[in-house]
Amino acid sequence: MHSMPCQICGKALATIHLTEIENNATNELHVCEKCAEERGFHGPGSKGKISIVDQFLQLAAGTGAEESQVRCRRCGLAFSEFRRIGRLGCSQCYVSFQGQLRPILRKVHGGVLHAGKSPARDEGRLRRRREVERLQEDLERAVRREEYERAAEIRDRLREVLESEKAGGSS
Amino acid sequence: MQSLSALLAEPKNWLDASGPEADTFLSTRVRLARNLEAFPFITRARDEELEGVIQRITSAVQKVEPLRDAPVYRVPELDALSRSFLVERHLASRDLVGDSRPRAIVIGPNEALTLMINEEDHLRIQGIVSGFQLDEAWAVVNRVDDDLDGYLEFAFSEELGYLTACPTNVGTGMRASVLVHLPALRLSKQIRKVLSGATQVGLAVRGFYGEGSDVVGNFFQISNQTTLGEEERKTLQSLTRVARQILTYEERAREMLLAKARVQIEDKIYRALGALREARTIATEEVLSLTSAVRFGVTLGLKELPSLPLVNRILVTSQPAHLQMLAAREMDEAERNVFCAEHIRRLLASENGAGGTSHA
Repeated sequence: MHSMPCQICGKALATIHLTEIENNATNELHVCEKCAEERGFHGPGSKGKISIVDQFLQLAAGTGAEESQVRCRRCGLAFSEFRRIGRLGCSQCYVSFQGQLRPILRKVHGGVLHAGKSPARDEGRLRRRREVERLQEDLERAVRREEYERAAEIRDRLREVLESEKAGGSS
Repeated sequence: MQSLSALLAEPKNWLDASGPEADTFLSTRVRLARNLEAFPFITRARDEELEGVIQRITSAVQKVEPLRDAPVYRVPELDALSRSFLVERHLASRDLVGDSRPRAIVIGPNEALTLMINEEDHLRIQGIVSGFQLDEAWAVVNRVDDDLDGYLEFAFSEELGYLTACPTNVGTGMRASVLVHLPALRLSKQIRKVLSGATQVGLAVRGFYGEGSDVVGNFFQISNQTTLGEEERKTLQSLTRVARQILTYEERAREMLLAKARVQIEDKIYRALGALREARTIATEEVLSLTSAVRFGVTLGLKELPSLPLVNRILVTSQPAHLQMLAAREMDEAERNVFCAEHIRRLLASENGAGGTSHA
């Protein structure tokens, strides 16, 4: 990557390079220190990565007025307020603003489904859910390859897991 | 409340440069962000609720090794100097100490493990180790997370993982980073190319010291940005891969510089040492660039230079709040610069002399 001007002021050399991955496409933001500091994602007053969300919230298509007025059922945060400060108010906000958050999460992380560790109490459920997903993929692949015997095995296994789930395994 | 000056006594943790590749990698850090399900996040919580969060977390912490007897500092009770001190020492972030809301910090043994309470999230578990050891740092915080999980209920959803105040942290809530020293790349003007390579694979790079337009001291922090959709181990693996690659580039740049400009490099390094040894007044920023040069010399294996732990100590303790804590009084910039020069001369002399302990 060679020298390029800051994408915000267009004048100073961009020395800070931020990358957002959206599916297979990469969005990049190249800014100079001054603009980065002004926008709040670098330097002493920096709030770290929050401003990347900010930038994308501002750059992305504006949401309608009604959408901005959606409030979290639990803490009362308005979505418009979230857009302003970049912080959610409680765990319920992730549910209340589900639709609006999804594109943001995709833009920031590239993914929208958690793949990492979980608290002990959720361990069993999460493990089972992932196994179901894996089995479904295997099933589709077996069917595509016309390996019908294998497919039948996988389907039976899948049935077992789903039934044990229904039987109330909440460990 | 325990006094923070207790932290000044012996050089701690990563300062001792005992980890692998500690000349290039000052430290490795992993932090996990968590929130308690039962309370609103910081911006929507009332102060009484934040107090409640502190209560819950500190009582859980007391049941968990190795934090059982760790001191808990309440931010509103800390004066401005103490707050700056914690930031300089990489123990707290500016967000933690910026106002007087109910926030706290728990400092584990040897400063290797720190818990920030009510910073951007209810809980941030931070592990710092010397050198390049992502797996170690991860293991430490992961263990504490598991242990605390037994006593606390974290906000979590199957779909989105650990729920954080900022969507940029949701999922694993993990920020892993290495603090690297890249003088050869800087000198050979390849730094931009190498670091943009890191950003192209989704990592974040920032200059670590320095305000304004320039990185000072050639220190950079490289960290992951993605927390949703990737398992922690994979994230650590990509960071490891990139960090190793950067190490290789730095090593190559070093060899090239030595082959082509040995005398000039040595001159720069030994002059820096001379300045540190003899200055009567010196500002923090100059200390950073001189120390970076000396550190480079140590990495290159040059003779008669201070040890790496000593260089690290100079780096950290020549910062403004540290100097004032050492002097046990507030000082304006002019006084501080004089004290700083004395302090560094003392540190450098202590190694040539009888050795033994000296104040951090």
